[in-house]
Order: sequence, then C-alpha cells, then structure tokens
Amino acid sequence: MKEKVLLVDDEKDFLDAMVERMGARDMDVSTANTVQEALKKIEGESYDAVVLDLMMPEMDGLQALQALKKKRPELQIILLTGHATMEKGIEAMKLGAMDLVEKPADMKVLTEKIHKAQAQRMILVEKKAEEKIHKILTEKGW
Amino acid sequence: MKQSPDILGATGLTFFGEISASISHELKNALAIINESAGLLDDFTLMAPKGVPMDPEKVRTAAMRVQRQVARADHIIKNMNRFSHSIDREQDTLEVHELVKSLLALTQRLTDMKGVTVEVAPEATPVMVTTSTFFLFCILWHLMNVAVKMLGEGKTMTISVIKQQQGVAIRLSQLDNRRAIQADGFPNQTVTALLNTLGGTVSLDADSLLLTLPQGDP
Repeated sequence: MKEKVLLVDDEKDFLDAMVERMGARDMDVSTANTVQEALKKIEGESYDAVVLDLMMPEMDGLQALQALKKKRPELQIILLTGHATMEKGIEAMKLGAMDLVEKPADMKVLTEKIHKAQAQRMILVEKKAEEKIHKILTEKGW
Repeated sequence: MKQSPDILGATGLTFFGEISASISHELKNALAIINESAGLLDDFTLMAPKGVPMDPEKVRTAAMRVQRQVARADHIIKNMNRFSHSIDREQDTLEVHELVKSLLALTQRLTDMKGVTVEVAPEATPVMVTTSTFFLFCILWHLMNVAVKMLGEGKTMTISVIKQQQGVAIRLSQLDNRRAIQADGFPNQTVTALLNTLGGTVSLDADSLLLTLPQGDP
C-alpha cells in the first residue's frame, strides 16, 4: 500500500527535491511550507507519516509537534534536524515524535522510517476500531 | 558585581556561539538540498535502464537547485568569514551599512524564527567609522533583540545608518512599545559595557532606538 506522507519544511528547494525522490519510491507526497499549512492539511487528510523540520519560522519545532499531535494523536511524526543530540531526541520522543533524523538525511533510512510509521499507524487505527466495536458490544449488551 | 571585561568576555562568547549555531544550521539546510538533488540525479540514472527515460528538463532543474544552494552556502561562509575576522584587531575602519547588512545576513534565520522582518534603509553615501568590528556587531545584535520586544503588529523593523558630523547614528525604527524596555531596566549591564567599550550612547524615543558612535581615529 502506498505510504501517504506530509512533508513540512520552509525550504521550497528541499521540498521539491524530496517530492520527486519520494514519488519515485511510490509514495503519495504532500507538502506544507508552514506549520499553519500543515495543521490545515491534517484536518482534511490522514497521513501515514509527517516529516517535520525542527527549525521553522513562526513556531518552535517541538511546539509544532505538540500542535500536530493534539489535532491528530495517532499521527506518526518524524522530525528532521540539523543537529540530532541525545537530549533533543529524548525530548522529542517524550512529546510524541516517532523518530528524529539528522539532515542531510539518507533516503534509505528515511524511507524505512516511513514504512515503520505506516505500520505503526495501522496498528493504532486497528486498535481504535477494536475498542469502538468492544464499546458498542458492551453498551448494546449483545 | 561583574567587572566590564568579564561582561564583555561573556557577552562576546555568547554572541559568537549564537551566530555560529545559526550559521551551522543554515549550512546544514543548504547541504540537505544539495544532498537530495544529488540523490535525485542518481535516481534518474538508476531508473533509466528500467525504462524510465531521463528527462533533460528535470536534470537541469536539479542541477540549478544545486548551483543555487552552493551560491547560498558561499554567501553564508563569506559572511561567516567576515564575522570570524572581526576579532582580529581591536579597531578597524569599516563601512557601517556593509556591517549592518552582514549582521542581518548572519542573523536572518534567528530573526525569521521570531517572526520578525528586518529591513535596511537604502544608503545615500558610505559611512566610515573606526571602531571594534566585533563589539559593534555585538551591540547591534543586542539592540535588535531589545527592539524585537518593542515591535508592533507588523513585526517589521527598519535599520537606518545616518552620517553625523562626528560619527554615525544607527536607528532601529518602526518600534511601538516602550514599556517592555523600561520594565527590563534598559540599558542593562551588557549594553552599558558595550557602549563604554565603543564610546557610544543609546537613546529611546517613541518609536525608535538610536545608537550613536564616534568617528574614531583611523
């Protein structure tokens, strides 16, 4: 199944190159230049993974992460950073990031993480569906 | 109470660290784009034997993207070099507009992160002073940070360089609110220490910060 990915970065050249490369790897890629744009997009669409630049104008990357997770808790967010430190990684995970990747990123590594994100999201969606069914069965008393 | 030299040392180091971190981030961004563009060109060569013909227009687009980012990185490194050499000598004769533009280039990412636009008023004539390049960079950055707290809704600051009879005035204008500065006890110890080193003064009016510096002896 095609992975559906949202790329969030203020650098247009970066987005253009990534869209081509990820498209060639059979991914369905959307882009957002700002965090506000990303928040609007996740309202209307569901994505297997969001790849989010940690340093963007207008909003601190970790705040952006929290804002996105608040809107869509099941969202799998991979953070892109110029300097991936242990502390940053731990802080990002605590706030709900799926992973942290240092720029420039290796496309193979990033692709694997996106595959993983899709798998994780499907587990979460299935679990949610099961809970819903269980709730219905319990409430209806069948 | 800290002596001035300690404050200057600490201020200088903090400033140097902040600028270095920002520069490294910018360079990483340029490298990331070059990396992806190179990867894309590689992808084209891998897809060609599988029956996906190479599109010359796409190859050209990728190549131009690399050239753009190389030019960008070169510009960043030139400014970084100027900044690094700003501590070579105690005093230098410099053109103030060029220094302001250099500082804005070095700090653009930092001001972007604060949602602030900084413009430089066009220069009429070159304005030369003899002073410490590094500490002039330093005090301007400090004043810009102070001014950011005073910005109005539009979040745009204008920096003008005005030649004076015995030196230069640098005005940060389109500011809105004096309350933030007065509450912080402006000018603080750091700004005072920098002003003492440069022989300058700073004043506030309703919508601007004004830094004046003496001509200095070349």
